[in-house]
Amino acid sequence: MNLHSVQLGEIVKVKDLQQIDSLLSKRLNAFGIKEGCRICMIQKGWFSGACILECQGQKIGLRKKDLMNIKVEQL
Amino acid sequence: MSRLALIGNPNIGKTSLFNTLTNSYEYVGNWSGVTVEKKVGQVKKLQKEIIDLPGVYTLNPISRDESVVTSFLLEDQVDGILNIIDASNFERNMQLTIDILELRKPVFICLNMIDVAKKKGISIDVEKLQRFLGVPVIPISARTGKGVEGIYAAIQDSDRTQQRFTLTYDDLIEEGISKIEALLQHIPEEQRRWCTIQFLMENEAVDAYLKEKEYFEKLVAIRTALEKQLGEPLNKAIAKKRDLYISTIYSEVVIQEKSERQWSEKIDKILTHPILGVPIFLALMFLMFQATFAWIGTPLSDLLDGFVSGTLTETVTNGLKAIGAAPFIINLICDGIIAGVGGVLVFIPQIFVLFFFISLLEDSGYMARIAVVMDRLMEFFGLNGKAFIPMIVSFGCNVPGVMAARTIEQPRERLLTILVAPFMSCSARLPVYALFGAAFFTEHQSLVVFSLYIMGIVIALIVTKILSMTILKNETSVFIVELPAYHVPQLKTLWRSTWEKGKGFFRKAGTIIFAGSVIIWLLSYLGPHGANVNMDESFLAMIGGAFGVLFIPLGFGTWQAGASLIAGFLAKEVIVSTMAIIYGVSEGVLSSTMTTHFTALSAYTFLAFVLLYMPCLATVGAIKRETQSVKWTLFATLYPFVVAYIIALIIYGIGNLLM
Amino acid sequence: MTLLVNILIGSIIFGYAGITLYKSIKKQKKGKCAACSLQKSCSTNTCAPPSKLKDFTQK
Repeated sequence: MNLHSVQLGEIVKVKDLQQIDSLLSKRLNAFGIKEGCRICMIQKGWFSGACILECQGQKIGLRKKDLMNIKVEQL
Repeated sequence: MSRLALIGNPNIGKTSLFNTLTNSYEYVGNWSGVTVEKKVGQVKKLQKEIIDLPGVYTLNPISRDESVVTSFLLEDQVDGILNIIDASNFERNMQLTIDILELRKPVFICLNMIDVAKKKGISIDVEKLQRFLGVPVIPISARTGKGVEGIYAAIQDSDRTQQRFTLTYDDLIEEGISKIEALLQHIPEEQRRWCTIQFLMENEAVDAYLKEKEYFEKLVAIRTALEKQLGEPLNKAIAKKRDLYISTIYSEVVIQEKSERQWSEKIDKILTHPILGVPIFLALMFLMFQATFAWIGTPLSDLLDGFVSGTLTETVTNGLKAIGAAPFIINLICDGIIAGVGGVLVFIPQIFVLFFFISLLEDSGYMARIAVVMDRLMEFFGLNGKAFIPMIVSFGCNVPGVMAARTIEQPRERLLTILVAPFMSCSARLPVYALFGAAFFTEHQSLVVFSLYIMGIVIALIVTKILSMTILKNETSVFIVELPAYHVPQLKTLWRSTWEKGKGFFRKAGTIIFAGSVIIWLLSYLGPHGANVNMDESFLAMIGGAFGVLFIPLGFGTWQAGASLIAGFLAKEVIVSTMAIIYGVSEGVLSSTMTTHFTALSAYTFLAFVLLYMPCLATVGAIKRETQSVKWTLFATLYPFVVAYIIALIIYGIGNLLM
Repeated sequence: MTLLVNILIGSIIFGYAGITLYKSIKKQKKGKCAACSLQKSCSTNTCAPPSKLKDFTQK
């Protein structure tokens, strides 16, 4: 499933980042968000707005459409 | 070793440490992307120069401010690096640390934010880490300066404590590294390995640097061949090895216990609430204005005004008369300089209060949340949520706002942000609003000002939409923003931050506003028929009048308005200076004289025009530097005039219809 | 005596105003490197690195 459909407060593992735009994936990489790392959904935006996630103790904001391209699996 | 560089992730305390070490004050804010240029200072205790650089996650640059770091390491002399790391984000910080250690220059690791880590239940075995990395690790608290003595000691002792760092990659990669190193004759021996590895990881800044060398094609050939042999991207292969290494260190060095859920989590839930987020932000902004105008600013400002136009002017006049100064000089000083500069200085209370709130906003960490909350709206107009941060900075002054756009990765979005930043009402426009606000809208001052700030934002968004549909068509946009932990600002830091912004205001007053006032007074004193003329027959009136004709449809087609607006190009505050000189301020009657030339409607129209019409001299300079294009700078300077005219026309037209 | 005082005050004021204005405009024109504190020890490339924005705006 994709990262956007995860429930608030749920922790999942990142499975596939292939479909992400290359510039964004560089950034995600730099943040330490890679395949295999754990990530948690903190807040979702209104009207397909930006969402807040937490990974390795760090909170970041990402857009819904990018989250839909990140495949995750449940723990 | 005479030059040190501060390198580390964004928002990790580099600038705070810089301030502590150099005993100076450079701007600190709690969001990533505060420092966009390098800054230099002197560490007196060590007799060394230290350079503060923008924060990066890796040396491979993604946005323009990040490439400053790699370029700096490639081209400038640096003899030692202070690498600041954050205990609560260990693995991510280590990525950069390895990048730096491979450089094989003296490195001193400063372990910061231990208190934040402790709250999360994280602690680090400093001894072990030192043994792993082979360089000193010094626990510090950058904000308070605790532990800084350890840094001095480590640097002075550096010959003993530095060990050469080597992370060995897989055989195939190591082979490739040797081949490339052999070709890099231009680079000092110690740094060749680092340069090679960065090159293999396709570091754009390194590529650009090596492109000019004759052997560049051979390098690329080796890289491509190596990648083929490995069967996977070089980046990934190298990253794998590094990750493994970092995990090893992590498991030995970091101790993670259960963490307590903090109060900041709860606050965050409310502030970034999907539905309440935007209204809360607007409400907070309105409160800011209430405090700035109604509650604190205006009362204080009135007191100041009474002093300047009363006691001060009297004293100076008497003093000058006593030493036998001519009426020309007395006039110049009292009706020119004191009126002009004083007319602006009386608004110091409002300006400082506003700066205080902006500092509060920046230091607390709320800025990044605003970017998230506003992103959807910004996206609709063709901008990035991150663009909101330069916009808020622009509320203080457009110049740093324009520069803050460097943190936006996409060139198209960056240019758009730079083009519309001047619509953000800067602090220099405040005196104009305050002046007219007091004269025409006394009870509703804050509402009027609030409406102007909102108008600036709305117009900026609309213009962005138009531009992105026409000349700056859509590219893919990248939105990712780091949300730092909330932080209760220390009063000392807040004060310094506020003062730093306010200092610029004083500097302006003593230079440009002073010069502007003198010139304007002179132009109002001289006329085609001689000196000391009736103001309506002065040069100022002529020049202003010619320009003022343009504004008849807008309700303020007077020479007074025309002259003020021209002068406003120098610095927006000069609009107030000009008016103060023109309308004569000796008995503090400025406000009441204006009512004969403006109606409430034309006053509001005028304010809207001032809000939008043209970036000031300093901003134009900043735009030119950031875009490096004369064409775009001209565009950025002239198109707002058209926008301002149209909007003013609409406001005046509708206003008249309604009355 | 009074003439001297007047000329003195006048020239200080106008002189200062003129210099200030001149300096301001000069500073804006010259650009970043002139206004930077690292001017003497810096090797120019670092403040204006190979910039994607430059390529974009020069189109």
